[in-house]
Amino acid sequence: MNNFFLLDQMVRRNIQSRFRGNVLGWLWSFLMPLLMLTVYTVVFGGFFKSRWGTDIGENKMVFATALFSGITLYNIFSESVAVSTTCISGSVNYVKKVRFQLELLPLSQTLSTFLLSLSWLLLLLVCTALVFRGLCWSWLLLPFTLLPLVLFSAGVAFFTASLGVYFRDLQYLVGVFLQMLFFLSPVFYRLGSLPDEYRRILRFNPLVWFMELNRQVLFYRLMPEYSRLPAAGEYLMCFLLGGGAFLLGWLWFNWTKKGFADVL
Amino acid sequence: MSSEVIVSAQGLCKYYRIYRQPYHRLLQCLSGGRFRLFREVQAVRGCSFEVRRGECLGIIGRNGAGKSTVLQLLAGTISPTSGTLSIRGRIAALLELGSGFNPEFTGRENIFMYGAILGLSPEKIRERCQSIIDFSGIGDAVDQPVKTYSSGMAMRLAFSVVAHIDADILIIDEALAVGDVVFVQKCYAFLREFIRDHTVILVTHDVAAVRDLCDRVIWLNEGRVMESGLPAKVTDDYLAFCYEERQGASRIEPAAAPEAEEKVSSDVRGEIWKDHPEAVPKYAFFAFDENAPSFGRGGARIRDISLSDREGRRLDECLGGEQVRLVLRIDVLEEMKSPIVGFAFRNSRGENIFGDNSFELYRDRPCAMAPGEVLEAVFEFEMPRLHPGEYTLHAAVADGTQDEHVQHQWFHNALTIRSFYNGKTGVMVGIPMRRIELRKVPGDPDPLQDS
Repeated sequence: MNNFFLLDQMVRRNIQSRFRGNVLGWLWSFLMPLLMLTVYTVVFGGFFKSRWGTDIGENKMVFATALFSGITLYNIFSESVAVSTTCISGSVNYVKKVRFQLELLPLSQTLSTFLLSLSWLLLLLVCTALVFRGLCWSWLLLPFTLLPLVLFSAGVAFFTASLGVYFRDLQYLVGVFLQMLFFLSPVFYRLGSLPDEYRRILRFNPLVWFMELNRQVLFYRLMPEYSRLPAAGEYLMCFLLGGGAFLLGWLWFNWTKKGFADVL
Repeated sequence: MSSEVIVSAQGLCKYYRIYRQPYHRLLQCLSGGRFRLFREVQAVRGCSFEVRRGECLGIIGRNGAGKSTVLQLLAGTISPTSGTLSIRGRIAALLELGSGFNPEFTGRENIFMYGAILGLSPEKIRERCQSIIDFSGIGDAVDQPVKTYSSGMAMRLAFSVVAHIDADILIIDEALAVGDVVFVQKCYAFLREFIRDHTVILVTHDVAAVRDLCDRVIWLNEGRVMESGLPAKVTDDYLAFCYEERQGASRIEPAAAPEAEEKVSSDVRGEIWKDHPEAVPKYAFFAFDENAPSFGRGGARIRDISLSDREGRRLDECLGGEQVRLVLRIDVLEEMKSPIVGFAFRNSRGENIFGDNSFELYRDRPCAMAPGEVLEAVFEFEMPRLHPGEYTLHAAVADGTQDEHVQHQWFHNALTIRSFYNGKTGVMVGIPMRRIELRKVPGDPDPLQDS
């Protein structure tokens, strides 16, 4: 019970600490995504004239919106993982000085990253509604597409948090790995636009599943490419990936955390 | 005391495995014991002790003696390699005050966070928040970020939080040295109250604090219990041990001073101190260190400095108020027309506490010395009561007058004196008191009362 309170406190602190001392404070949580979206619109819609699948009219923002949806999901994952990699070695006091549930460290990082990305999601919905001039009931399914992603991120965060203690080099490796994953995930391209064999290989990247699921729900009937809702199997797959990663990460973390105090 | 045993450690051992690379730890974990990637350091080897309810246990020892490891074992942040440790009740470890603080956040926010880490429920924290702030005495600053606090303020806040969690056992590591006098006294008052029906384990170098608070002390050395028992005895032995280590085996053996002989203090409290041995201001003297740094022309060399009693027996300890004789023996190498010998006791902050020199007494009848002769200077005085701590004796020999002289040798830290004194008078030097008296006297009638 107390752990929930502690987690709550830690998440609050994490989130608050991002805005403490800034002139604009909380406004940044909306300004950041808004500015990013503007950049995407100008670059991809204006300069490159990129198209997301079938051309639907002359709206420059279609590509930017689709890209934005991918980036939002990717950020949830990459930030959770990147921050968690150093979260244990950065909190030696919690390891050595007090009795503390160390799982809370990566967990709180993941949760705060997710909560911070809610503003991105909100902006994404607003933007989608404006661009396509309509809402869609399928958005009600969004929580179910996001939950597996958060679970998955937390699971991977457990791994990198634990390994980051033993291999200090991991923080650099993780950076490279995440960058690689960015290109291997359908962030600024559509999975459907790839040849079949590539698509099959790419499916080994769990992020592909989450992003596809999310786009299908988000752009259901708004774009011709997303004319059907995800099948139950795809949901199941996402939950299996997310839940599995979380469970394995948790177990691994618990197995290895005994050694943290020895090497920090 | 027959109260229940709260903490019981039997043959506690902790061997640290030192890995050259952090990932070796992981490989070791995965290897299943097929190979060894570590060097073993035995931090704690077989400690056994018990602490009961209502007791304060002190743990002393030098750096690296294993104190912190024992504390971490007690706090549960590390697990023992072997041996058993049973703890009944909730433990609050203060291994480093305020280590859970985030400087960006306000004191109030940190109270919540720190309280949560220490296991206090949100309702309890809300309930006690005001009381925590009051105890810490930081006032309105509680709503300022902790980074704007002085270190003393942060520590006070941290201690206040700890004072408000319902722990059964409090572990304190070197924490009481912080804060101003008023707050330290508050902490002591809190601890004394707390010890009554809880348990405290205090780890410190501060021998005075140990003597003040603890009922029992264990002295750790190289991971083993060297001695355990009453504070006065154990701390004495511990200090003696420390100086012996530092100065070789040069601690002065009590020269033919029979144990049974009573030391006499001229202080009016002499009789009282007989009944309250813990209150006696005591000193331990350590041998003259002829290799201590010195400077000067070198025309005379201080060969020996000793403290003895009035009968000339060398002392290795004395009481406050006792008559002592400071003797300096000086080899004269150059002709000196009017030698001056002086000394000063200096505290650890480098302030000269007291001292004197021979100039005035000999200004009109100088004791001229020729090369090869030996000059002996004797100062007889009553040892004042000094704040607990370490003092050094500085001695010098010069030739000339007070204002114009040649410094032949000036010795820094020629001798170390350790003062043990529990009486709190708040002064640097307590001179021997001939008389202290409180009495009722018939009061003047209050003129206003009559009308």
